[in-house]
Amino acid sequence: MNPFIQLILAFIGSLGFSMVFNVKKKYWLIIAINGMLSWGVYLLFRIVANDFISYFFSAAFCSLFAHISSKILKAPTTCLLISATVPMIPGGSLYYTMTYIISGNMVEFKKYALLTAEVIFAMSIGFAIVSLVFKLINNYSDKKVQSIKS
Amino acid sequence: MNEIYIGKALDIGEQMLRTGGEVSRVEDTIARLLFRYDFKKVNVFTITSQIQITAEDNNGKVYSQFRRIDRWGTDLERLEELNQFSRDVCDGKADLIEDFVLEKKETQARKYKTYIGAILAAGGFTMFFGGSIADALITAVLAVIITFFKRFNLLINENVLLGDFIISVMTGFVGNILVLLGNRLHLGLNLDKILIGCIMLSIPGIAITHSVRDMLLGETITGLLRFTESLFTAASIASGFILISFVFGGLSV
Repeated sequence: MNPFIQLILAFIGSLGFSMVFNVKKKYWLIIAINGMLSWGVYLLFRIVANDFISYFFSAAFCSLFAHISSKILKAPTTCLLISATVPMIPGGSLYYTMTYIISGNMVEFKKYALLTAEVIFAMSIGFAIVSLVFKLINNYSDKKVQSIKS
Repeated sequence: MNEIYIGKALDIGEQMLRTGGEVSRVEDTIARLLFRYDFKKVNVFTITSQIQITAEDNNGKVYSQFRRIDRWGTDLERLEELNQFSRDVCDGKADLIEDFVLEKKETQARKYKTYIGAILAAGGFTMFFGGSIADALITAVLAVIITFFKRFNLLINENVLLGDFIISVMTGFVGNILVLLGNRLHLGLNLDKILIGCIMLSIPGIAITHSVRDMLLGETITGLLRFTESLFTAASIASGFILISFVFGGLSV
């Protein structure tokens, strides 16, 4: 499909999910732009790298964007992150995984299950690394947290 | 008095978990709130279905309470309010006992937002995964049905998996009929793309991804709980859609 149409649809999808999850109205545009840009990062990396690397960098970008904008807007990161990750979620391959296990086609089932697991792992590693970095920065700057933890 | 503070802190933690807050956020918030009210040692243990607090006050008396959480959803505006409220309490701008509102009434605007959002999301992702505009329109109809059932928690109250299964059977039924009618008119509809759009809306794909992230960050039990639950939910939703499609496929051949 045309990459520009994909980007527009990623924008619309993220916008829709930020409405479903009842995010405040003033964040809608940022979330939708984040969803669109992260999908753009995926498409760019897909030219030179494999799926795993592309999803990893896409998720890392998405998480970075959400963390930075949440620092600027003083909002919880979850609010800005969750709806923006939706375009990367492997809904299609998850659907085919379930279809093939029910129709008993084990070869296709294995293929799609591995594909789904790969995407989920790549994205989770991307999210985890970025949120770990920001956690370290927060702990370093916030003395109160250190006194609570000790 | 101290017991009331712990109870209120638990209320906030419970609400945060129910509206989609992360476990680490809940633990952090409760610890900060209780330190604000002069507790010396605070231990908080949270998983998605339970919060446990043991706190020691200035006189060395130890309090312990826990809370069972049976259901969770996503309402990020409420989460942000709770976050802001607990920040205000820690800064001394609000009082934990007097100013806390447990439940908020749902506004009319929120209702419309949910429906419009569901239509945009499901329709957008149908096309995103390769469907046509006609597919997206049919997905929009199904998205309204799914949202209607989800909002009123019909059939979900007894058993979440069974509720999801029945909702997806009904949605799949309507979807199949619409596709059959549409293809009589030569619209060239793709049933699988339509169902993928619906699945993006109802399947916890987001929960699966973020639960794996939780596990990588060290919240192993929370991650496992949500991961397992999401897999079962995904299976029950998908099997509902697919079983009804097999019934229709068998009939139409």
